[in-house]
Amino acid sequence: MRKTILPAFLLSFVFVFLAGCGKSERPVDVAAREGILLFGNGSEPQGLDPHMVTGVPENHIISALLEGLITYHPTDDNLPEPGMAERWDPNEDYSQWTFIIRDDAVWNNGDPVLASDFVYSWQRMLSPLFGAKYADMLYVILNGEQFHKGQIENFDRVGVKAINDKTLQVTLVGPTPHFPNMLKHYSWFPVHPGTVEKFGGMNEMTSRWTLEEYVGNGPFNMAEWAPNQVIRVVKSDTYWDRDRVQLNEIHFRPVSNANTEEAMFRNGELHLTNTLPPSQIAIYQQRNPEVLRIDPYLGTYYYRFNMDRPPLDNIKVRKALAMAIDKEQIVENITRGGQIPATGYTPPGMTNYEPLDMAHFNPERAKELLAEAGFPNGEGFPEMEILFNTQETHRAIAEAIQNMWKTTLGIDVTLLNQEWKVYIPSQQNQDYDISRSAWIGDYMDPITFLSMWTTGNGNNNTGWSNPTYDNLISAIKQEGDPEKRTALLHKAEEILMEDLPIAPIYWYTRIFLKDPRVQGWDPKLLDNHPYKYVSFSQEG
Amino acid sequence: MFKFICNRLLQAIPVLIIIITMTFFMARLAPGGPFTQERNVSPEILEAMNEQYGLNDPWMVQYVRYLGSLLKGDLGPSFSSPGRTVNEIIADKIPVSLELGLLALTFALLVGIPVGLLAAVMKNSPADYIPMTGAMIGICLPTFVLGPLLALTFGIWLGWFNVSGWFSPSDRILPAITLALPYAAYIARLTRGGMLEILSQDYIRTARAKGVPEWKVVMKHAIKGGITPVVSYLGPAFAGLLAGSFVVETIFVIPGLGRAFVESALNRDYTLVMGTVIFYAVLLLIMNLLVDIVQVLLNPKLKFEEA
Amino acid sequence: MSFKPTEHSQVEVAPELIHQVEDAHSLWDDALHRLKKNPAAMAGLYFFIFIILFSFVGPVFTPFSAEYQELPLANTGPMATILWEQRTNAEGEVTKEDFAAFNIVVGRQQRTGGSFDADAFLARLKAGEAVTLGDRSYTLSDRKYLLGTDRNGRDLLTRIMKGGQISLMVGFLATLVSIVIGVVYGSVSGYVGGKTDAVMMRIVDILYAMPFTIFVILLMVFFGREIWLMFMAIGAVAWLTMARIVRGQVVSVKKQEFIEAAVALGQKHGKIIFRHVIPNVLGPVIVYSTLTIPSVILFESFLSFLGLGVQPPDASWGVLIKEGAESMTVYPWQLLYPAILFSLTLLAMNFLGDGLRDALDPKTTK
Repeated sequence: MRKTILPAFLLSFVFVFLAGCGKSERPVDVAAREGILLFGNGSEPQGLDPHMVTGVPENHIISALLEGLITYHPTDDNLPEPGMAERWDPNEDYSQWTFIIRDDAVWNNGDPVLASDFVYSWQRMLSPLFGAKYADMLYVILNGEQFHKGQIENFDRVGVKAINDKTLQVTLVGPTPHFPNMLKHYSWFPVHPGTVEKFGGMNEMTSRWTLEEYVGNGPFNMAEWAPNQVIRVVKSDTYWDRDRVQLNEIHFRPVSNANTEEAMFRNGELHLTNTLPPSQIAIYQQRNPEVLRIDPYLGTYYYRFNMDRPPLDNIKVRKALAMAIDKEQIVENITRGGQIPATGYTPPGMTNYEPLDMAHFNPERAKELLAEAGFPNGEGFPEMEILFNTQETHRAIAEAIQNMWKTTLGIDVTLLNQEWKVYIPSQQNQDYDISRSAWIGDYMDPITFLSMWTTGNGNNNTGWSNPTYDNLISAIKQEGDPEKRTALLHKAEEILMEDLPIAPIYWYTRIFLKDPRVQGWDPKLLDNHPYKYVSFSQEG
Repeated sequence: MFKFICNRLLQAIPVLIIIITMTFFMARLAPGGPFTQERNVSPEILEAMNEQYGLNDPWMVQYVRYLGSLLKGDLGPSFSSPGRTVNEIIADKIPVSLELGLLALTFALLVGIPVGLLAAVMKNSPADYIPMTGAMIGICLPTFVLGPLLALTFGIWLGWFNVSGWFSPSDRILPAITLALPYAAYIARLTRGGMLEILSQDYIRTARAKGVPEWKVVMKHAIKGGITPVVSYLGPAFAGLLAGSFVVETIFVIPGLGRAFVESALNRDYTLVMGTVIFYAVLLLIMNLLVDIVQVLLNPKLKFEEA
Repeated sequence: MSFKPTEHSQVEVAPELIHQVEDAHSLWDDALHRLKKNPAAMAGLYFFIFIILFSFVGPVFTPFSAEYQELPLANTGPMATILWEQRTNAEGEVTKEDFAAFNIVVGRQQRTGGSFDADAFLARLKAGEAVTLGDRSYTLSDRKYLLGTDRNGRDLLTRIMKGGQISLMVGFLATLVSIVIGVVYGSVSGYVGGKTDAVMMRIVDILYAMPFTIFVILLMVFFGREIWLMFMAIGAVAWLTMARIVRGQVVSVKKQEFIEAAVALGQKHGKIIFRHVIPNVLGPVIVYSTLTIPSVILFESFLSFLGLGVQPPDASWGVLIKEGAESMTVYPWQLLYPAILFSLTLLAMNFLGDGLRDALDPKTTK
């Protein structure tokens, strides 16, 4: 008798324990009911000071905590949406802008948001002692560059002025019709001057204000920052548009591993993921298309050619290499997330700018060109290397391209993968033959893609230099007429695609999983989803 | 014994200095720096940042300054999380890693040693082959396979656990098991090997011949010598459990030291690299000291001067 | 290679050379004999020979080379049905033709065309028909991949074979390096003792604590991507634990009577270490080596991450397993097959190692 009781007792204990562990209600269900958005946010943010950071995960969090003059529209990134500024007016040629800050704009400590706060913030961005990484975004302001480089020491000479408490006047270096689009970027966000001063002042790089006293003006307030665990923000009751905000909290979870994120989503621990491993896409398309989202994204994946290394200085060689890349095969079979084979450099989706339709896969022509360049069937072609940073998809693409060049052109290239912080200097010092690269636009204007290819630009890194192109870019920066400007942009990009210092491969998409209950999360080219429009539908 | 410990602690000082010095210069020799990023930073900005963090000074100056603040217990500011200090970051993570590491170690020992003992005693029987095959598979199954498999089985299919986070007590179970299993397998193998060595020794045979029961032979006489290799292994193993849990921490989204260890090196966060290396070195030295003490206690023939 | 104190004194008394030869001869004979009687060890040995042949000779017999890619057939399952797809334009001319995986075609049809009878489609294809769906027509291809393909449409079987060449080499060479350094270093340290021991062990501590990632990056900066660096990088860490274990053993072994006897007889220390001390610690060494090989092989994939080690398109078992793990819920075969071969090989080596250990130890008689 006794002998059977004990095991039975133990067994029942085990069952009770297991039942206790079993979750009848998943975290996402509880959270949805309570208005808490559980958001997979990629890697741990390196900081939350809008003037210090450069990354996408940081952007997701900062845009909940702070708001600029103009903010992101809920559905279309081309449109400006009033933020701190109630209204704004450009002068005739778009070179001077006046912003009227709304009366009910306040910081969450009760202070009103003033025009002088923006002057302070932009001075901080441009301060030569501070070292903001996006400072060059503000070079569009008159004398901004000179101040940043220390050629001017008096900030009064920089083209930003608080006319009164609520009126801000900005003078730019030239006509800039897309200025409102630039202003959405977090580098233009204000910070609370009193708080920044309290924590060591404007130029303090190791300031702890974001950690200890995050004074914001956005729809949410910082509640908790547990590094590598979670960042919790709660709805602000001082935000001017607070009635529109429907979420009570957002939990940003730093999940750097895409497979973990997918498991978390499946296990009901996230409403939204940051990404989805390519291998999973087909599965979701087939079984759970309602949670899979594939949105266009303002980014280009491309290969750089080092123009200083023969035979890559020969345009025919570059063309042959670019034409021998079967981009369709790559997006269909490797990336598999609806990416678009890039026929130009600037991705589609910006109003008034049709992407170019120039760079096509053409193996026959590629062979001819290579022969014309003196390497019939690849004979005598020197050994070249494709450099890429270590990552599964980059590796798969590089292997595919290596194989395409081998079978189509008969040339052998080797592959070289480097860890990120080795790869970046290799690229920046032009210590490579051919290098994988990508560019994600900062704002909705082709110039964010095209200005980097001017001679000696810090992001050019190919050695390509074309005076006509440089002149065009300068002309674009002085052109006040939007139509003429677009024409000039097209002309510049055509030169780039004719000279081919780069081979565009595909235009990005954002692939992620979304709980069907989450509403107001529209496809956005810049992947900005204003949280005040996000809500849960309870039936989902 | 007291003298022995003092002696070893004294030895630790030059060891630490060498480790600190080598790491300091190695980190700076590696290509890329803390501010290297894809979007090009203009030389002026880079200059300003280097200036504020004192990276423009000659290395020797930086080194002396670092040693100076180290003596005061200050590990400096982190480069990759501006505003935070390395002391703060490491102090934040130690409790997490300690908990995870101890859980995993306990589990590994509780599984590894009995299995190894049983296998040694029942040599060349199914009780040997089956667990040893299991152990070998445990070793062959890398954490990045084991972790997702456990998450899939016990998280998604059975719904018993969350597959991420470090919030509730049940969040500890899957990561601890994932981390422990390969170590358990190692320990089982080493225990078996060590026991076999001892079980064939003369004094064991003598004991058996005298009619001492087999379990007593194993548990009283053999085990002390038999687990010597395990004990030697435990020093580095425990340090590894604390600092080498990068993969487990990444898979289960745990804010532990393992990630700080790897990511600081990849980010070229010089001060955090130094901080984690110093922490690891101290831990390792202490663990190895403990191991050497235990070894003497297990082997009465040894004296402390020799250990 | 015998360890009993009485035998040792005999060895020392008798003329050395003759005895060494005789000793070695009979010992190896005995060992071999004992090994042959151990079925698990022999099975391990045979499997091990098989895996060497598989890796080095196998690629000759597979229909595809390891580099041959067929992107449309990426991630095709083992023995999956493969089709030949032709796209035609309005005029009926073939504009594009290529391979297509059956399940992908079916998936596409089901997504766009609603209900699509995959079985009927397959039946028609098997009857030798060309089936037209929209602007594409399909015929059955006789191509099969025994173990499926990887994410670039390469034959997984051949890649596993090629990967075996690299991994076996890495596993063995690096482990060998770690054994040689670890055993010699650990024995000397433990045997000599005193200050030498302290210094030597503290050096091990220092090397343990070095940040390995940075060490590897620096190796590549200064020496490029030479293959020997990989062995060096692995060897540099693998021997440390070995040295500690060996030293621990030696410290206790040297207290035993036969060592003291050899010292009393005035033998040279070097000889004592190599002839008496090391043979006595071989048991744990063999055990730990069989544990080192798998970790070294897997470790190599981390070196690949840093850019050292095998470079794509080549892949080692470590890299294949790592890649397979990324997509294990979707394409399980990409993880399963390399992992199975890897595990079986190590299991075999493990049994062989255990058998060797037993065979070399004359005390373990049944």
